[in-house]
Amino acid sequence: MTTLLRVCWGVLLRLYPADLRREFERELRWGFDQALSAGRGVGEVADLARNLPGAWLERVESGDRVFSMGGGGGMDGIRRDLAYALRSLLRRPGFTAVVVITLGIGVGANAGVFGVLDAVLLDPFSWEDEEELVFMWESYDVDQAKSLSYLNFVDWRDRNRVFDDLGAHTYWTFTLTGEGDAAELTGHVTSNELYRVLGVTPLSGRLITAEDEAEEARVVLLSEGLWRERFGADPGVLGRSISLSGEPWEVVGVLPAGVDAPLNGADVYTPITTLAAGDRANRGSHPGLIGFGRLRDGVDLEAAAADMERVTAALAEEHPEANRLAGANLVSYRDRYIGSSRNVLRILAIGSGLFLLLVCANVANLLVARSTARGREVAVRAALGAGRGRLARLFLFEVGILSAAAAVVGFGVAAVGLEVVSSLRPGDLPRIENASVDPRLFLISLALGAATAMTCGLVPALRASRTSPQSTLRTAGGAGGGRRRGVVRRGLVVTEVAMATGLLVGAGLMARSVANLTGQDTGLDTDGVLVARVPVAEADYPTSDDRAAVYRDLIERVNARPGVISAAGIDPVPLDSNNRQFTLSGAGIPSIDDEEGLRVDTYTATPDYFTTMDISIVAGRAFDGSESPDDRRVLIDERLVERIWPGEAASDVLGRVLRFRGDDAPPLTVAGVVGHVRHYGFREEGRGQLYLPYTVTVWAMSLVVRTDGDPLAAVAGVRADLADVDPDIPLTNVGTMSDLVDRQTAEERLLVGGLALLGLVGVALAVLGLHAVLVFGVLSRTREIGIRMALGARRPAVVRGIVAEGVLLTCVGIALGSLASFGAERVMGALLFGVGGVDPLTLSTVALGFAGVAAIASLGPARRVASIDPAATLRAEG
Amino acid sequence: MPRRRHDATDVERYIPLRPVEFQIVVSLGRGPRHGYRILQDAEARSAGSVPGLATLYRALRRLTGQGLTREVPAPANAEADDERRRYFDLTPLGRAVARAEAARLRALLGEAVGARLLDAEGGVS
Repeated sequence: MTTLLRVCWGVLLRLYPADLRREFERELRWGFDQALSAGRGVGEVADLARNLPGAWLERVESGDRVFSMGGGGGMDGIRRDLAYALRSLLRRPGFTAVVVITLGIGVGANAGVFGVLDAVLLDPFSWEDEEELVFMWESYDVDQAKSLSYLNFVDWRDRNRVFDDLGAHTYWTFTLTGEGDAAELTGHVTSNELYRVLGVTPLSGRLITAEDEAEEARVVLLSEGLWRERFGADPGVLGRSISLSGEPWEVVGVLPAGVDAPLNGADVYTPITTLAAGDRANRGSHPGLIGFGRLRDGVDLEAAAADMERVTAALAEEHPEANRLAGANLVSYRDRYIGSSRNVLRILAIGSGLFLLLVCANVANLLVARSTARGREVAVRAALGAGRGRLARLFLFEVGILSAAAAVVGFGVAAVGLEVVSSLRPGDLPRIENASVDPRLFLISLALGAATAMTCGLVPALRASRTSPQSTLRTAGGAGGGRRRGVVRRGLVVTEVAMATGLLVGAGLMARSVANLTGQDTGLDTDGVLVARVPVAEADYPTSDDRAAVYRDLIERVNARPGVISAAGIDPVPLDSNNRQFTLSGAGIPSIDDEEGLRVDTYTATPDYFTTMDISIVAGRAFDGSESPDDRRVLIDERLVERIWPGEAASDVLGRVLRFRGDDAPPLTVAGVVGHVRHYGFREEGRGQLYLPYTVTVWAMSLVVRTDGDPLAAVAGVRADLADVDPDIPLTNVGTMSDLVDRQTAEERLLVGGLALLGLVGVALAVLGLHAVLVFGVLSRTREIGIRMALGARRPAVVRGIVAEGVLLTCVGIALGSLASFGAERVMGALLFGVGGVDPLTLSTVALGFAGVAAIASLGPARRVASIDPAATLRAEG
Repeated sequence: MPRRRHDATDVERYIPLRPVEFQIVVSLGRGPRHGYRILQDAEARSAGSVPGLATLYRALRRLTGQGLTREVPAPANAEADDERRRYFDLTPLGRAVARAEAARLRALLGEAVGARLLDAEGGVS
């Protein structure tokens, strides 16, 4: 303890000005030893800490008194004024802290939001000349879009006149074995041109070449992350053969870390010849390819679209069977990647801008109030001969110190805020991890705050210095120009209320949208459901039968576990941003266009899927486990019934037949009708859905497990069961269905949280401002109120007057803020759901809540009125 | 060193003294002392309010800066250990200020007696 105290004391002493230390250090040490042995060590350490600021101030003042205002030229005067400014701020720690903290929060919030904005929207991607990059895929009629077919990609590439180069890629999954635990890898199947389009240089080795494609070589590039994690960053990995989904692939290169979209998020990259030969031979097959081109110099997106129209028109003529309706959809790289985030960020930027204005109004209010109170001080100084320049400098220093302190606070707020936001990864905002506090934007925000402080601190002070000192000094309160400032301050309070109202209305609209979105029935019960992908490699289990057996075995084991209510297999998982669409043939079905067919979301499911997910069986029956590998019985959802056989009852369509286009097998029979599931989330109704029994076609399915407790607690058990079935099969994408649902509204909830936080802090500031204005009003009118009461005005009436003023100011602010609603529709339109910009419920809730808080805030000043003693007031008057 | 000249008419501007400053001038009223001795004096006077070391030395420095106290050579009778210490004494201005402050406090105490907060002997009534 003694040692600790000694260390603290020593450190503190080191922080003292050197000259003071020189003078007294030896004696201080000796004295401290005495104090320690007398048991007063703690008190001495505290005393040393308490005296530290004062010691520095005295040093800056050079031991002289600073109150003389004459002279003051040169560095000495500046130093003295600086010290005086610092001291006068420290003398009102409450005022100083409030200004510094509010300004700091305002500046910090802006710098933080702009940091995100900058990283996500403004910061150039790592590709060179990224504005020349264009995405493309096929378009059909109105809302139909398809990935590129391989043959169309080849023709687009060879026939266009607008792209320097045109490549394509699609996603693929592989199972890596033989390198530690089995792992599911995300892969990109890429054409060799893609690397030229993007301008990628490999970290080591080479890229995929046209020769690789010509030879259909099994070559693979590794991502830097995989190379490091799985291969220990071994340069000798080049030329090695690794096992992907049971086949040997030769590693020929490693890509650098941090490659941007579209190459990001993958572990391995393989040639386009990874696509099945059938996919490459059939123009009507769409294996998920997305085209990616670099515009030639001087060509813009519009010109490119026109040229592609020429290409697709020619192709439609040459290959009517597949391309009759095919066009090209072109989207710029930036639009594709930033898309909906742009809306979210724009709203946040507007919100934080409003908040900064609010903060500025608040700081202005405080400073105007202070300058009023300082009228007397200014007058004294002017009377003592301080020129206006000198006064200006003094106040400038104060504002400078306040701004500098606010900058420190703001930087902290922004840094902490960014850390929190980027760790939450709201709505999968792209590149948010790159967000940082941009010094330029930070300085701009700070400059705005400082300018406000300057205007509000300096102008009134200088105006006061112009009025004759005698007149100011003669008035007892020294509150010269009070009335005009009262008006200014009321205006500022109204501004604050308006801004806070705008923010709260925004938050309220988003909250209602979220409620409307999540209030919709997804068609399934997601509570307590674990979901995890179980990719069974085709190489290890070549037939559907083999794969089905794996899933059957696994599900049986998981089902037997305590805590598991039921388990099932499904592919693709709803709400998980994967889908598989097949086209139904229109033959024999009048409601389906013969040529176009009808695209449906198609699933493979095990029998228990519907009970596990609590999907309703509307008619007929679900799968029962008796399905055979060539079974033709399928389930469809209500929506598909309505689409194909409009107006008919679900029970009437049982036994009817459907056919996939180009499928020569016997037709499919509808064995049951199930409820519609919101596969694409809350904002999209989704297409009709069709379920195949998992015995017929088995892709890599996911396991869904309903548990009676925390679903994630079941993960270990599932892993153990899977290891018992086959230790080479990985369990990936582990999560809960509830998470998938939550992710649907992540962006909206980010906005609700952000705007509500800003709004509530805004309300607090506005109410404090209102309170201060009312108190000031009461104080400056004490005499008037006293006289009125002496003349017979009743106390309650006076109190009512004060509360009414508070409520009136608030109402004016609310009314102005409500006008923001009309803008909200425009700004937030795309994100609002089931609620318009001008929403009476939101508006009235915000207005009533705000007015209520304002009324309560007015009670304090009103009580002050109640304590005014008319007799005392009149005596003072006399 | 202070630039301003001090004379008896300046006394008013230094009043009131802070408690710690008053403790110092009262101690030095009995003759030159080093800092720690002032502290011991304060301790002996009242168990309750003994200033901290840093507070004391800052005050000493301030008073010296204002010309109320000054540093003096160690007296001949100082103990060997004390020789290395810095001794302070009141300046004539300091003595005048101390007197004026004491008079002010006495007047204040008189008021307290009048208000029946103290009896005339100084006990709490």
